[in-house]
Amino acid sequence: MIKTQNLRKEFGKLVAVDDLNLEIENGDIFGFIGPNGAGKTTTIRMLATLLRPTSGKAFVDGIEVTANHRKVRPLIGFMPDFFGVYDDVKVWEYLDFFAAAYRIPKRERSAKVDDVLDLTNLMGKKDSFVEELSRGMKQRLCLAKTLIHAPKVLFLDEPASGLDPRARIEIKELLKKLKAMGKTILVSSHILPELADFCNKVGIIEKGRLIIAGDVKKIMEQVVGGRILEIRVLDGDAPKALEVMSELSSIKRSKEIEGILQAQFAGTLEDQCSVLRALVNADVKVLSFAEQATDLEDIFMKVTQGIVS
Amino acid sequence: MMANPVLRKELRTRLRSKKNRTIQLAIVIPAILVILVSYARLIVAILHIKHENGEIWLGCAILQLGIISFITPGLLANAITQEKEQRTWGSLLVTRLSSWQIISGKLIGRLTPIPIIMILFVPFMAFSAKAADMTWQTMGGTYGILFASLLLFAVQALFWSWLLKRTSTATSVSYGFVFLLTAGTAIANELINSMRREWTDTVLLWFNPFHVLARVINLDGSVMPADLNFELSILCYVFGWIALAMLITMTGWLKSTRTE
Repeated sequence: MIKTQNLRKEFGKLVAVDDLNLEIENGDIFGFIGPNGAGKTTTIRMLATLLRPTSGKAFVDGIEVTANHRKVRPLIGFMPDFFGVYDDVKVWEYLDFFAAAYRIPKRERSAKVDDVLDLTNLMGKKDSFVEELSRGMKQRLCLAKTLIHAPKVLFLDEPASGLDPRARIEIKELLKKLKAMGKTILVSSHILPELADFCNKVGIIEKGRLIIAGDVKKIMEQVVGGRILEIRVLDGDAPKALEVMSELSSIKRSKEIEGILQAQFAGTLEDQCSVLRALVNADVKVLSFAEQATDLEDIFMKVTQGIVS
Repeated sequence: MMANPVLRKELRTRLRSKKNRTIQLAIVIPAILVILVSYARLIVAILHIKHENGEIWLGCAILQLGIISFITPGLLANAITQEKEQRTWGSLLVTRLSSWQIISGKLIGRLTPIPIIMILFVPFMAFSAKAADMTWQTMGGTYGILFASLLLFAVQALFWSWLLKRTSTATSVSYGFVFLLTAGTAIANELINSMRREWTDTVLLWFNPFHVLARVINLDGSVMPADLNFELSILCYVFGWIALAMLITMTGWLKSTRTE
C-alpha cells in the first residue's frame, strides 16, 4: 500500500532523509519511530505530496506520489504534527468545508460530517465554534477532517503530541477504532508506549536513515534476543537457581540484578513451564516467576544512538 | 462561482458576527439608518452645488482610488500567510481543490468590501457625469484606472502573501509596492526634474494612477488630450499584465508542485 524506493530529501547540505526504503502492506499500522529531527516529518510530508523528494520514489496504492499527486490525494488523509484549525467557523462548517474541498457531493456531506463527528466523539460540539474547543477536541476535529473523504491511507504525524494524558488516551482509542476499520496507517511518534499498543509494524529512523523496520515481535526477538524472564527467589537460593538455569537449553544467559534473577529466554510457553519446574525440583524457593514486558522503548534504546540529522 | 468552497468560507467568515441576533440587530439597524440619512443628506447637498466641470466626479474618483490603495493590500496580504501561520495551508493543499479555486476564492472573497464601497459612490458619480456632461471616454478612463489599480493592488498583495511566510512581511511589502507606484513615482519624478532643472512629467508618472486619473478628468475641458489616451492605455495595460503575470505564477506554481 505504501512503498518508498531510495527516497531522499536534502535541504541544502543537510540530508533529512537518506535513501529510505519502506514497505507497508494494506491494513498495517506502521509506527514510525525516531528522535526529534530524525526525518519522520520530512518522510511523511513527501508521502503526503507536500514535499518533493530530491531523489527516489514513493508510491501509495501503486501510484507514484510526485508524478501523480492529484490521483494520490483522494486516497490519503494527512494530519500534520503542528496542526491548525480555522477558529472562526463552527465545527460542522469546518468539516463541511473540507468535505466540499474533497468534492464530496452536497447531498452526502451532512451524513459524512455526522459520521466523522460520531467517530471522533464530537457530535455534542457540532454547532460550537472551533475556537471554543479544548486542544484535545481540536486534535480530534483535525483527525475528523482527515477522515472526511474516507481515505484508504492515513499519515498521522505525532497525533498525540502536546495532549494531556486523558486526551492522549482518547486519541489512542480512536486510532484503535481506525485500525479495526481496516485503514492503513503510518503514525509517527517519539513517545513509544503510545505506539506499542496498536502497531503491528515499526520502523526506526535516525539521522535520516531507516535503521530497522518490520514486524514488532520479530524485531523484538532480533534486537533484544528473545524474552526476559524475571525470577525472585529467597535469599541464598540465587546461586543454585543460576546453576540450574545454566543447564537448560532454553535459557541463553542468566544473571542477578539487584536481587532479581534475569534470564534471557528463547523457547515456547511449554519451555517456560519447564524452567519453573526445574527450579522447584532443585528445591529453589521461587517467590515470583514472570516474563518481563519488553517494549518498543527497549528496542529504540538499543538500536539508536541518540543522533539527529 | 459560489460552488467554490474557499470563496464560501471567506465570505462566511467575513460576513459573520459572533454576537447574538438581538445585539446584532441593535447595532446594525441604527447604523444602517445613520448611513442612509447621511447618504441622503449628502445627495441633497450635492444637488445644490454648482459643478459643471466635474469636480464631484474627480473628488469621488480620487477618494475611491485612495480607498483602493489604502484598504486592498490590507485585505489581501494575509490571505495565504494567515493559513501558513495557523498551520492550515498544508491541509488545504492536500485537498482536491484546484489551484485556481484556492487563488480565486481568496481573491474574490477578500475583495468583497471594495465593490460595495464603489457602488455607494455610483449615485454621486452618475449625478456629476450628467451635470458636467462627461464624455464616455472620461468615464471609461476613470473606471479603467480604478479597476486596473484594484486588480493590481489586490493581486500583488495576494502574491506576496503566497510568496512570503509572515503576514507582517507580506503586508509591509504589499503597502511598499503601492507606495512605490503612488508616492514613489511622484517623488522620483520630482528628483529627476530637480536634477535636470526642467519641470516636465517623466515616464514614471505614467504608472502613477493618481496622476493619470487627475489628467483623465480634465477639469478645463471635457475632451481628453490625444497623448493621454496613450498614457491611460499604458497604465491599464501594464497594470493588467503585471496582475495577470502574478496570477499565472501563483496558480501555475501551485498546480505543478502544490508544495508548501
